Amino acid sequence: MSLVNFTAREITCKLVYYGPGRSGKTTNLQYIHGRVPEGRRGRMVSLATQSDRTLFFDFLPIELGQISGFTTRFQLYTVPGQVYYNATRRLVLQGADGVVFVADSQARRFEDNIESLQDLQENLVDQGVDIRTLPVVLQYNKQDLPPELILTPEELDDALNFRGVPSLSADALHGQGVFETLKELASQVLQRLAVAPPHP
Amino acid sequence: MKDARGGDLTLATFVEGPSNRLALAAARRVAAGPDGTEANPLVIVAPRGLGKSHLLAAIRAEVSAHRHVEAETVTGLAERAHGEHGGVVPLHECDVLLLDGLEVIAGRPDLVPLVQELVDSRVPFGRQLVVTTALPPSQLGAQSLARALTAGLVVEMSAPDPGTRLGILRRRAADLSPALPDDVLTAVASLSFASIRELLAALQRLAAFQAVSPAPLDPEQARILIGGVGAASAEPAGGVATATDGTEEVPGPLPALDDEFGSFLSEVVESVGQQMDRWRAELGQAVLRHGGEGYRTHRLEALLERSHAGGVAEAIADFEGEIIRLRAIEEEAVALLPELAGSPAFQDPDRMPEAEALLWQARRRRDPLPAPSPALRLEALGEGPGNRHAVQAARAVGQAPGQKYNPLVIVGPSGTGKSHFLHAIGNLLLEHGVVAVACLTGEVLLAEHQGGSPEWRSRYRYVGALLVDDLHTLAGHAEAQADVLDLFIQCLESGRQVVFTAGAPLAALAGIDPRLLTRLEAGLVVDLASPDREVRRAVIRQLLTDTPAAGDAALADWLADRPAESVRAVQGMVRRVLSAAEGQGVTPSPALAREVLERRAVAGAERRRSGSHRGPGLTGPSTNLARSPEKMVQEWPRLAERLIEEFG
Repeated sequence: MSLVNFTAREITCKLVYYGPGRSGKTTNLQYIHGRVPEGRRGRMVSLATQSDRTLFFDFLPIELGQISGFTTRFQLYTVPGQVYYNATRRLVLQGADGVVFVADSQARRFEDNIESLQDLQENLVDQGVDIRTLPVVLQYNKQDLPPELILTPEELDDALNFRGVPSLSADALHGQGVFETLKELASQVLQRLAVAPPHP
Repeated sequence: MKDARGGDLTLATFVEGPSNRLALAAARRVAAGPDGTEANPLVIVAPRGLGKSHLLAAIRAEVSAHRHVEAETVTGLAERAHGEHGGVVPLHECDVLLLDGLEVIAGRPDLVPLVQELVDSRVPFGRQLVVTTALPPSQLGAQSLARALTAGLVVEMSAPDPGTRLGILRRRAADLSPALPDDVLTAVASLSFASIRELLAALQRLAAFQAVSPAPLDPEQARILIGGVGAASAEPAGGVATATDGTEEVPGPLPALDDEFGSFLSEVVESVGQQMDRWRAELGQAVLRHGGEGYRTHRLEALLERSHAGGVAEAIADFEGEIIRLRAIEEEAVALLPELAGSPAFQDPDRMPEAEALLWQARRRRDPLPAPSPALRLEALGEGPGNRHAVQAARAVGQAPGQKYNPLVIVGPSGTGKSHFLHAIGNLLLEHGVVAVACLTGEVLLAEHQGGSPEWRSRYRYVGALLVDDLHTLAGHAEAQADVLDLFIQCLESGRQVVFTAGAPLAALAGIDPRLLTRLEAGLVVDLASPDREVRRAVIRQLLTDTPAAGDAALADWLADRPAESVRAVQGMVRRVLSAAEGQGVTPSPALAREVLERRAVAGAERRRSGSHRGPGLTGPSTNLARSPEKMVQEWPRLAERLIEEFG
């Protein structure tokens, strides 16, 4: 996907929320959906099972209007976290301009986080994406849980953030850190506007 | 010149206010008469984003029409000190030097001597210097330099007051669509901003909201939108703006914006604005730098009119690459031909072909092209059935070079006058005003090509006409043929005449690139036959000109009656007669010619008759003579035998 289409005067950013199952990716999108004025948001598409697990993916388009003469829109996606939906994850990941990795801060989900992060890297490599150049933000969700159940952001940084990308604590259910994460990723993605190859 | 947001950077567009009035007045004074006596150096001190570069660009725009102006950043000065961008000499010698960003030296003490040297080489000699800096001279960390700077005029600019801000907003808002109400602009102007850039970013942000809002913004919404993201704060004097507390929704006709989303949107607007305008800033810097060096930058300035950054970085890189090339061309051309110094073509990347042509001319003056021989004229070639087409084609080429018969190919055996035709055409072209006619043989071409393919291409690149004799001699020389083919195509595409001669029909030429052959076949191919009597007579009369036998028609006729396979044979015949006449001290005549030519033939025949080649009544051709039926007749020792053969 091209970030800037100079011919159509459009800027389109595809942001993907990645992470292990039940880490809070869909919750992030639901919170954002609830805060975006009705006229600016598209219909949030969410294919879920009876137990509210994401079956395929969530999709939330946000229209930001004309900015510097460009129609600007963000497209937010989540991937299904369950291990067996890798083909779907790869599909959703295709053409992403940035990735939020939503980690579950619970200590018992530590291995799931590691596994999902490795899965993300493998899928990016398979798609020929250099993870060093792709904007990525880590979100340590569920930091509102009792301290004895979760790892601290520092501990999670030690385990997951070996690339030193921005990381933020969050409580997606109540919205804490949700927009901060989105802003951080958007800022990184938009930094690439000037260097992104022009759309033909 | 335009600024980063597309505005014209002139003194007229600089919005005046109390915070910048002194600086603007000083800039006007320098622009009006940069005689280096007043306000020299002029030092403009202001934090970033308050219009220092605008003033520099405006001074340059005013002065550059009648003075040599150089503009450079202090960072660029360091690069020049290493020999880049034309070195530092132009900065010392120009009439007006505009030096931007002096604050850099506060962290780069190694640059202080460079700047000090500039000041010392200019100010005492009345050469105007204008400097901008974000730090006052006293804080630059160079006391001596600070003293030199403060000896001139130091003016400061501060953040614009509300009135100035309103003026700036009104001027910029005039280009916005949809338009923002004036009361909104007034409300924005009442907020304080650290720089004009921030003010314009706020305007951009409002314009973005306005574009998606169903109703016009009102002042209160504008203040909330601007103030809510911390870009600005209400000035006590304005006294009306209030920032949201993070939860309050914007009232009125604007769609209700949750503050989290509003904050997110504002940041996106600002990021996009900065990123999308960065290319304009880079373009502006390139224009300022290279325009200051004296190069025409209208190509880059035209890019500023565009609405997107696509390909701009490549365009700047290409432009700078061409400037490097122009510098090299100018250096070599002026070294060869000093009168070329200062040619406008060397200052304009869009006139690169012209600059290259000037260099080519300079090189050609040093090392002339092989020209056609003035002695070989078309008039000297008689016209007969065997060469009529070639003569007519030559005349047509001479009258309309590059138009009617291009390429023209003359084919014929050795000695039939191909080279003469080629030189004659070359002379016709010269007479018709074609410059730089290159007339060279295949052998010469190959010899020159051995000196290097690039050099050869460069030497012949701008010929006015390309005439190559003996194409067949290029057989097997693929690289030379490739270069000839390239040049051939360039000539054809630009309407320059091309003429080739070949010793055999094109289809029979081996070892010649088929691409070259097919292109030659697409032109006019004329064959030259052995000279007939009319041609022989014309050649003979020409050769007898300026000799004692010049008016001897009988001699000319007698000689023309003798068959000859080639023009060279005719020439040899005439030379033998003239030589004999000169040796005997007599006037050339038919009798002498008969004696000279037939005696020789009889002697030759008798020599052969006494040998082992004697046949039954016939004399076989000598191994030293051409094997032609006509020449065999000439070897009959007796006229009777010759008649028997001709009528038998």
